[in-house]
Amino acid sequence: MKKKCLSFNYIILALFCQIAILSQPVNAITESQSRIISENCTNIHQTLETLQKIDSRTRTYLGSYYERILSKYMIPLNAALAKNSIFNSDLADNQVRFKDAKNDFAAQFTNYQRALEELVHYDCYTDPSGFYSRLSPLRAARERVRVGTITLNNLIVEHRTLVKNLEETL
Amino acid sequence: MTRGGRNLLILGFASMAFAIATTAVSLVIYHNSGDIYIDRSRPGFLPDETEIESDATSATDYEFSENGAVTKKALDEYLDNLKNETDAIQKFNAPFSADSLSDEKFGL
Repeated sequence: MKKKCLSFNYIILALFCQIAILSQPVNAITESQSRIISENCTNIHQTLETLQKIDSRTRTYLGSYYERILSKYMIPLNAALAKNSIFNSDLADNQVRFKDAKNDFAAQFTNYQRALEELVHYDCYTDPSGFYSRLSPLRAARERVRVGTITLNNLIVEHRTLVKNLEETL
Repeated sequence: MTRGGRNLLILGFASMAFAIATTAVSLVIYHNSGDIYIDRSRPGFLPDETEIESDATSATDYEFSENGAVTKKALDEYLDNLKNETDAIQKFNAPFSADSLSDEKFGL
């Protein structure tokens, strides 16, 4: 009976330890980080504002290149193929996926910029912990934008290969 | 105040209210659609001089003709022009990389 009771206690203790470990926030801010954020709040805001401008520029340029590739290359090519009775489902599928990825990239960028804008106006001087806790979702949003550019670039590479394959069959 | 003067005043206020309401709706749409984030005519987001110059030189007016024949020559030209576009994209080295928001960037 005593043994059973002891093992039960161990299980309860182990459970408590596990809960205590899991309940620790992954991105918990340390005291020194909190102090640094408060002290450098103005500089941090400036860094974020600069980043906002750089990202806006990158988004504008990449967006216009993606739009041009879709509207001046992919769509007219597939239309010409259809008019010339050349059936190529891979190129048509590539165009659809590129358009979806482009729209997704634009939407993810808007989400990211909203999160960034919130942080630019956040009072990191009085609430460094709140500021730091918002950094993690912002990083995740930025990562989704980055992945979007990779997806689009891969689709362009795939498109070039498909066109080269088509060229060989002519 | 004459009746005509009063009517003119009402018309003036009504016009102002209408202008304010439509401007407010436009601004809400402008913000909610996300267009604000790619609008580089905002103060502080304007392109600098060197950027405008490089823009003018890099612009191409190529467009694949959807009414033309799909020949080897046409596809060759297509791929050459497409390469110019992809080269321009590649100039943006690691866009939206994680480094810009790292702890180190903020001195943490």
